[in-house]
Amino acid sequence: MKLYYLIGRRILQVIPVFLGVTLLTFAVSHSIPGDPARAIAGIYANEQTVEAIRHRWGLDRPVYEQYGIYVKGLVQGDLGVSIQSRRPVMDDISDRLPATIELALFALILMCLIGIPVGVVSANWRNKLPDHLSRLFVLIGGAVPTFWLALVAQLVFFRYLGWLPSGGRTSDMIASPSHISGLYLLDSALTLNGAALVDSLEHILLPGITLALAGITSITRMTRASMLEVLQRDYIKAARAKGLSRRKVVLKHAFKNALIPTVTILGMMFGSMLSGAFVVEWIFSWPGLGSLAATSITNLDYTTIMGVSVVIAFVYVLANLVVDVSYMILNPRIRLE
Amino acid sequence: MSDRRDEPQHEPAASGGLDGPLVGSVLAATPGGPAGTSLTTIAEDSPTYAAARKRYARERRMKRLKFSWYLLRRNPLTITGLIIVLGLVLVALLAPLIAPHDPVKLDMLNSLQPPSSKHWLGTDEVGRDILSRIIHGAGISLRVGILAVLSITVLGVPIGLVAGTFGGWVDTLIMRVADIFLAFPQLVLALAIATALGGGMQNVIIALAIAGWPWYARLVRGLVLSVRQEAFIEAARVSGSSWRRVMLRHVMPNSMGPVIVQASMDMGYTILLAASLGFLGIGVKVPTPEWGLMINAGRPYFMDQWWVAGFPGIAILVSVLGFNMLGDGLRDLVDPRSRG
Repeated sequence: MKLYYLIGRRILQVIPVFLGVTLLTFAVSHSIPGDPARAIAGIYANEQTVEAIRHRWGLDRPVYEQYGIYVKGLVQGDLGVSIQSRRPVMDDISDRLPATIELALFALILMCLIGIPVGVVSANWRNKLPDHLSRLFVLIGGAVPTFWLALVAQLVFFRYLGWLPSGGRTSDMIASPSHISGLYLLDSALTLNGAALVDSLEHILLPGITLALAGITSITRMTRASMLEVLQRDYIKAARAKGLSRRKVVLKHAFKNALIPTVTILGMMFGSMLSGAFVVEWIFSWPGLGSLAATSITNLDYTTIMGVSVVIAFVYVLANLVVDVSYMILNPRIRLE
Repeated sequence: MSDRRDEPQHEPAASGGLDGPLVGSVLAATPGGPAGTSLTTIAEDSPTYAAARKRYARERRMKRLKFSWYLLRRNPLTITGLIIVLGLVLVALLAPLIAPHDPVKLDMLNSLQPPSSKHWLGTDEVGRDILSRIIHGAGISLRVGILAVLSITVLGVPIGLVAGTFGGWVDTLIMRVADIFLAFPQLVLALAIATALGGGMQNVIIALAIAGWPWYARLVRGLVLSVRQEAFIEAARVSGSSWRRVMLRHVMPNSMGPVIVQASMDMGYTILLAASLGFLGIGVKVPTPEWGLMINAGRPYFMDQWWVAGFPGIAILVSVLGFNMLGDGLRDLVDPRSRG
């Protein structure tokens, strides 16, 4: 009963944040210098055309009315028309969203698979060689520019070793798997399409690893810190005292409890994956939101940039909501508070 | 280390600890002191008392500084970070003197030359010397980093201070607004704002400040809430100080340590963000030797002429690494729990 109340309240908290996000994006898009009607019409259009466009898009109305129109459009899934593709921004985004989500999820899983064990090893051999090595790894991981790492990965694994493709989501010769979720890895696995699965995996590996390395710092640090804290607790000492092996205590008793803080930052990590995707996608020609935003910047396509920002903020807020709610369900202590 | 409560307050003899004997010995050595005076009866405005107090405070400060320096020195990573940062500052200041070539002069005959004895790090697509460009770029990255972190702090700290000190609906309102800003990944928000403002170094700094302030507001608010519980705040209020005075004189100095640490740790991250914006083509314009922009320009040639984009990337990596290592060391200074 109490749990449902808490979850309900947490979900309701999202509404003002969403509204604020729209207000902020609206404010930013309206602080752009220049005349948006002129931008839509193009430089050769005459004054009447510009005037007509201004009227048609509601740009001659008061700002609060324009915001109302904007929010009304948003609710109906209308983010305006892209200046570069002349298509509704929503169509461009929904075409590309699955690719970004697939990449971000893949990188997130990879990050956990590498980052958490490194953190555990680091805590277990505190101030010994493995700890020093892992801390060095984490320091470098936090300092390397993602976009540069992506280029270096291409240079090494595509140009010199020739092991992996340099970009794209699939090879030209291989048909994309039939559309179920839009996530190629999942779709090709579900349809038992082996060739497509291998091909998708080959393509996602380099951007996925690059993106995962960019976020690995926080997850490893978090795991190390919370492992160190848990390992000092009395019940760990008790478990050791009653004769359990160190290995068993670390992996069975400490690890599970140390994982809780790490899980809570996963939502935040998903957000950093999304922003990392901006540059990584562009470099690996991954057809997602990031490369869409990057080309929009080059073409000064404001409507698309704002649309992508709003959608990413929504996805980010939702990811944090999912993490928080599952945390409430998984951790009984929170319910008691 | 901004914990002012350690310093002697009003009654040296009564506060015990180190104060008593120290003041006593100073007084004993002072010639011409009134005979038969006990410590407790010395007037607090007498010159002897003031001198002793000053000397005591100076000794405390020296001792604390020495301990801080020991903590910094103990960790080889911190020292490495310090050396990198100092080196970066030096390179930035001396750029015109130490750069072997003009960073913006075109030399089409020598374009895309590999590293050689004439051009140590090679040349770019229009024949500019990459080493000279990296040297001149150090100042740009450093300036953007410092100015952006400074703006974030100047924006975020007062907001957090107000939220934490006043509480109530002011607090609720400020924190809800902060939540909205935090709903965007930092790079995405900075990107949108910088694009809207039209690029350029100044706009990049503004964008980074707008995208970054909520983190500082949150941090300061949390610190203020914990400081507010302390007895000396209550004492100041009871003795008649206004909230304004309490906030500026008591709350703020006691919350500054963690803010400084956070700022030093964010320097590296901010330089990285600014470089990402430069790489995406927002920020300073060509031919300015900004490192992110240099990587963007070298991208088409990267597969065959890797040095064009390769070396600026290493420059970013090393600088950010330096700031992060130094920041970690500073954090260990202020937060004893994070040591080792």
